[in-house]
Amino acid sequence: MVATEQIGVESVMPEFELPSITDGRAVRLSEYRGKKVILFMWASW
Amino acid sequence: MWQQLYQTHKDSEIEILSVAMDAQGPAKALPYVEKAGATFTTVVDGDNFLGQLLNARAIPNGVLIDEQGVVRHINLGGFDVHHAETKQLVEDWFTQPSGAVDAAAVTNETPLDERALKLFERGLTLYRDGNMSEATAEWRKAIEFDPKNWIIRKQLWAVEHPDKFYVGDVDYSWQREQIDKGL
Repeated sequence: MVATEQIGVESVMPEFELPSITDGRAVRLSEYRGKKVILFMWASW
Repeated sequence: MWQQLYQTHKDSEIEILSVAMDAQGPAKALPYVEKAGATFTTVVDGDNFLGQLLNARAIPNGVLIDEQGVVRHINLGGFDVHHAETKQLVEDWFTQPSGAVDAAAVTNETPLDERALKLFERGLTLYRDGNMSEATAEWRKAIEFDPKNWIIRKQLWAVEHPDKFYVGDVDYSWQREQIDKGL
């Protein structure tokens, strides 16, 4: 996946699909529509 | 801490989507998820897709997205739930109408270096093909173009020096030494 735009506050967050860490299932952001979401980015490093 | 907040509020219409920015795939980050006993979903963004989208050079980052999919807040680099301010913001987000949150966004206005991103991507392909030394060489070139891209730099360090990251706790004093040495 390559990001083609940049987003900021008031942007609509673009749809994306990333694999679940536990079972590899493709998780889409749109599954969370209708809820208040916190997207939290971290890493093992 | 995240699990505690999730547990408290999970019956409301809220979700936490945790994203591990690990190019090495799920294996390195999974122990953290298991140790935290996290019941919310964690995904892996090994391509730095979200880093590019948000113009991020570091972690931890937080993006608050409302019921309609609109971004209401961004914090790049300082979204640490162990800090009282972040924890309060999370509580407010979960308990108040999404329009009520008015914390100042922390974003990055300096564009990411395109050459660095290309080199990082090329390194990823090499890494996934098992060409470790060629991969790290590409990532090292990437850092020369964008020295403050900590997402690339720390990924490189983690691959080259796994003992400083995956044996016991992450060795932050070692990282400071590398920075002091200009590495």
